[in-house]
Amino acid sequence: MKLRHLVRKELIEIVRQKELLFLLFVSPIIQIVILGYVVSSDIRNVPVGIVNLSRGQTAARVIERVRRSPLFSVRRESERSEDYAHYLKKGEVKAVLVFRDALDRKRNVLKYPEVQVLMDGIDSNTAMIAAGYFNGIIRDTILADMEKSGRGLPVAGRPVFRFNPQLRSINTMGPGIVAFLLTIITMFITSASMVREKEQQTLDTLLMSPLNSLEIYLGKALPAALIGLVDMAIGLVVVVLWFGIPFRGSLFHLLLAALVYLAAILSYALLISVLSASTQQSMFFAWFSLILFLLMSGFFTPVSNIPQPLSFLAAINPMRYLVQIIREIFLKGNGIAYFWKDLLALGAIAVTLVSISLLNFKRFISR
Amino acid sequence: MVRLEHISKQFGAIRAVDDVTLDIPGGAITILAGADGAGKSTLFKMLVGLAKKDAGAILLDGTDINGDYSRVTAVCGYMPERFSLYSDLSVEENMDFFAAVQQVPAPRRRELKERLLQRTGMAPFRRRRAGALSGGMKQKLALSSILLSSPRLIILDEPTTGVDPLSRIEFFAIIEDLKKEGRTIVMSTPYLDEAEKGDHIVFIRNGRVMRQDSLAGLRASFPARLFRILPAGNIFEVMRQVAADPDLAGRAHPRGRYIRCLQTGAGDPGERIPHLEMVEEQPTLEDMYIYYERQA
Repeated sequence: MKLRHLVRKELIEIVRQKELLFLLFVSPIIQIVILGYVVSSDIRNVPVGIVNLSRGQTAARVIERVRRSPLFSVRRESERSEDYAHYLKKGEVKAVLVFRDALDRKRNVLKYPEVQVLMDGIDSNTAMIAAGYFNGIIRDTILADMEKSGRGLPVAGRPVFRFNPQLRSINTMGPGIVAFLLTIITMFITSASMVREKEQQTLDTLLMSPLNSLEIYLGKALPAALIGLVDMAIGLVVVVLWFGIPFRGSLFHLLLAALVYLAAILSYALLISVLSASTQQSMFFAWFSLILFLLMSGFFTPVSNIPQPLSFLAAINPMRYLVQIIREIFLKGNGIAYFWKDLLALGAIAVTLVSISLLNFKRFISR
Repeated sequence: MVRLEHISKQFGAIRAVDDVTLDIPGGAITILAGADGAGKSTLFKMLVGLAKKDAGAILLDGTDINGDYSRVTAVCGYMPERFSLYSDLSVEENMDFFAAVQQVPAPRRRELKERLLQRTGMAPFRRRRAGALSGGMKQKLALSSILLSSPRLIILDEPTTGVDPLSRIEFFAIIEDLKKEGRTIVMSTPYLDEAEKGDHIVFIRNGRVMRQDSLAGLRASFPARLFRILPAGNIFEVMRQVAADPDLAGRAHPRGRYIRCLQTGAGDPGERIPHLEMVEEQPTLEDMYIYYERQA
């Protein structure tokens, strides 16, 4: 088998570069740990300012609850109304709560104080979530008062969160990171591979050899696939053991999805490699593609957020299906019956990409 | 063994190879000599099928290959202009890889590899990474690698460019050995002194063959005589006179204490250049190349 020698050569070339080895097998661990801790949409310690113009007990109780919540950290307190705008403008706080007494003129008694929640909208996501929590705290205070006086709400919804009861964002990110690792490693190794032969001028050696284009194609793809799978396994172990995210599905299903995905992503990377004139170009292409794949994969933000006219971009994004399938397998423990449509779509993308890429590859080889 | 007939190749507006017809006789060393960009590399690439020719025919052992380049690649070893082996692989790994993809059976591969490592003096460096070899050693490794498939036809594109003089001598010794084994060698070089080692010499300029023959044949048909003249008086003074003389301008050049002068037709340069001594010399390939280049 001539192919075996080519694969062996590719692997030796990779192993000989110590820096590359580090990047391939150590950096994934660093990436996961960093992504796991840093890239989190959970909110904690949001800096808050409080302007309390109310004399009543109710406001004091609400403020006490805010102070005790781990979500917020009260940085500024004041009793002067002109302070609130100043806090936000200076950026010392992301939210300002203003309490003001309201008088029931008819009965001449104090009502619940008016509360104004001012948010810094630049970080829109945090602002939305934090605003929701403020409302929760205020509502809880009112409910507690109502229960004390023997009244209750006629109906109350009680949400139960399945598959991720604590709503930890790492549980959503972790499986995505596994998909991300599989992509970044294979994409970069492969998109540089043919360009490297061009730059080293070793391409002629390959072209003059009795190896046919399919053998050269596979000889380039297989080593990258192998390394990608090893990295995925490393990622899996770290995500499960370090972050304690449960893996509820079947490893076989994960492997199956990964292999179909690899066919798609490797053929795409080889296409880049054939079309690029230099390693620099291929790296740029790879980065550009990777960012697009990542942003539209549902890794950070839900795919359903993408506006209709652009949703086709997500539909042809192979990473989107992998992220989806991996989450199904990982957190829900779902079998193929639940994600066969995604797998089929991924398969269709893979077949299309392999065809385009192989065609270009053949044309490139027989110039 | 190989004959190229009316081969042409155009890159945009540039005619890289222009109606080239040339013979590569079997069991001999053919050397293509010409300046950079003369079309030597393109010619080789078309011969092995790495570049498409626009027109012309390639005959191998008397028959047209008709686009079936595997006939050529099956019998030839081609060494491209730049070192084209894997710099991250060791000497031995490079050779193994090359032999493996050429499907050389393992026992024969081992035996040949040992012999080549010994012959080229590379044996002590077998585990060294190819990227860490000197220029001369790289070329020897490249040559060894293509020899593993025991090619009948060996095509070397500027194998000695950028190689130190000692390594060049060694390199030619190996090539002479290969010739003795009955193999056909065709190589290109920009160095004309090197071209004298060829049995068949081809001068190429701007994609066209200016002249092709054996060294003796080239000398016999050379239409000019070469004189070495020791000028009487200051050589700079004399050269100034020569430059002003329309018959001599461009033909006479100072070299050391002497003036070398090419003389075509009748007449004696000694009559026009005041001299102490004048000796007729055998023209070198360089003299001939420059002469033909000026004529063209």
